[in-house]
Amino acid sequence: MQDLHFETIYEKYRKPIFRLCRGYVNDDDLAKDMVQETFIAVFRQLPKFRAEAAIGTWIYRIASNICLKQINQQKKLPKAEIPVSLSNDDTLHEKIEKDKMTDFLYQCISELPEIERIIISMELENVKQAEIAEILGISPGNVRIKIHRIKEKLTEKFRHYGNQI
Amino acid sequence: METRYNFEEIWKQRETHLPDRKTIQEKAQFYSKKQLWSSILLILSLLASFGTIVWVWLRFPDLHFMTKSGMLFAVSALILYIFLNFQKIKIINKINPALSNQEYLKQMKILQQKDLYMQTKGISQYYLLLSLGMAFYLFEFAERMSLFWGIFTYTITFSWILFGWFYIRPRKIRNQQKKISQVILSLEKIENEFSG
Repeated sequence: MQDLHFETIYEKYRKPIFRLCRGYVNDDDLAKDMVQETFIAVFRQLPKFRAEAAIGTWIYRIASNICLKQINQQKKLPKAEIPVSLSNDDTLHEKIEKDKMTDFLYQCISELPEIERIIISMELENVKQAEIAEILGISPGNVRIKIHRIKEKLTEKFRHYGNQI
Repeated sequence: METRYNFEEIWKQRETHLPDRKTIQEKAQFYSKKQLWSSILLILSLLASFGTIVWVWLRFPDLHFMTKSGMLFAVSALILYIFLNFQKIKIINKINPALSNQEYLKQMKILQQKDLYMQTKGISQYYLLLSLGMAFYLFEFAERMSLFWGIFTYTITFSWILFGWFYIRPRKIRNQQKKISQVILSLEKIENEFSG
């Protein structure tokens, strides 16, 4: 039996949804606005939720649709500077701190095509591939292939950036 | 290829301060009320427009038929404008945010195409009604003027109408077309990603 209380839902999903939105737009304030928009929609749609799907799948579907709706705003966004590959080892060691890595990962994800951003964000949130497929409306096999490709892309970018964590 | 980076761990390090549940609920309630009020306002403005027509018709029975027709056209233009905006809000609200991404994109595209139609055809109809309104309304007054001033008044009026029709209207349509077409293109680009 799924717990459909808004309070429980909000507590459980607000951080993953923030990360999804943050990865999509790479902007803190806009991501927060999108989280609000998502949960406002969740709050208003909750009475209509028929529990045919898992509540998590349903919330991710709303959040990813709100991400896709950002088509116009995105182009106007001043995105954070892309950390370029570093020139010498000293600088490299200074830069490879956890938060820099996080910034870099979010930057890389925000540069992916829209659908790939959504897929990898959910994969990193441990959403099952079958659920991701359901959220997107594509086959699980397609999701698997896409995840593999995206991870390859990210690994390649990280190789460029440094060597390892 | 074996991944040497723990992306999941790096990903989950991102933290931020998010508003509490109560704030979200209050905002949701605020938006519902706002939406309700804007619908009420739209309906009231439509009723007011109809009321104006009825009032003029009854209050000034001696007005020339052309003057009354002019008023009718002008108010109809206003009603059309309100109606088009109302339709747009209705379509936006009809899109279910919990659809699958692919289905949602399809719905967004349909919405944009409808919007494009309304913004282009709607603008033309709006200008046509408004222009007819002005031309008809002035007739009774121009009739009382001397020939020179009558011609002068209609020359100015028609110049303005032609300027609106051939300059302002196409410009507005072009701007809307450009804006909406860009959104449609972006939507199509995302749609193509599904198969890529």
